[in-house]
Amino acid sequence: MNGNLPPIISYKIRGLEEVQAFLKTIPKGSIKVALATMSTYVLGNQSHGLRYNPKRVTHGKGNPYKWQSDKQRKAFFASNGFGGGIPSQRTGNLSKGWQQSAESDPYRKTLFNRVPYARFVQGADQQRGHAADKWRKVGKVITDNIKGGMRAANQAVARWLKEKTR
Amino acid sequence: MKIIINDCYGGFGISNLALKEYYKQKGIELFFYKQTKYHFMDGQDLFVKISENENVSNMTYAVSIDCGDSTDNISDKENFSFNTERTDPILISIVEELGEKANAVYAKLKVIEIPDGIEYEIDEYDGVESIHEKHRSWG
Repeated sequence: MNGNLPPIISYKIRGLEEVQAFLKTIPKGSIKVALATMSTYVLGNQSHGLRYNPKRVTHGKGNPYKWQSDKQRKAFFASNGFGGGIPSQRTGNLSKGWQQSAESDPYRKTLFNRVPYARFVQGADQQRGHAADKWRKVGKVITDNIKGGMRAANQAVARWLKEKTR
Repeated sequence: MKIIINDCYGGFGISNLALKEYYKQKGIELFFYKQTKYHFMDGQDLFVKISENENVSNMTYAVSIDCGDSTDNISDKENFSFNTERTDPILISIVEELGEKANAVYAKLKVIEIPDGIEYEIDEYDGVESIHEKHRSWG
């Protein structure tokens, strides 16, 4: 992955209203810990967050993939998957592509994915076939994970305070 | 067999009221304190007593000693929390009785009944849990 490439999808956690309200309830010194924990939670793993993949759907005659159009379907196969090959199994690249910024300012956390096809699966250009296969758009994933993120942040702040408290 | 799961985005957790009821049934009275001042930034620690009905999400301590309306030292006292099984019959009865009042801030608890003798596992998706029978698969 080229670090100079612009992010294909990005999201700033701190901009969310719920997160702003939450940050006001914790001591100022712990905001860094809270934001880092929240970002890591929203990035997720195999059971939640942006790195979560919905279960693979078997497409066949009874359950065909939902193309945007028949023209797209024909073009995909005629061009060997638009030049990228026709996948037979998941590579996990989309999931691994989700990263958080290592900005010098720890109070600004950006989650991004530079995998070129990310926007077609989880972004604004999501294809209806992916939506039908239960892929959620980034905004929805973040909304669905923000409570879990705040819960995790609470636990991290409590641990941090315990260390700070005499 | 009854099991408690979390049924909303967020994660499993019980309210202060449910925690108080749980320990009450074990013969322990709990008192709740919220930290409002911090030594590292305010020059002193301060913990203010709150009602068990106040379901705050953070900085709450549940202790078995009544420290009055406020105290500057609570860190040396045991902080009670819920760390037992989801099948704990005492907690199940409390959740059934309290309903929504048993939920922690980021939780919505639900009691599920499954057939006895089933080997189960709790699956989680963004904090939403569901119970599945354990099985093996190949290929």
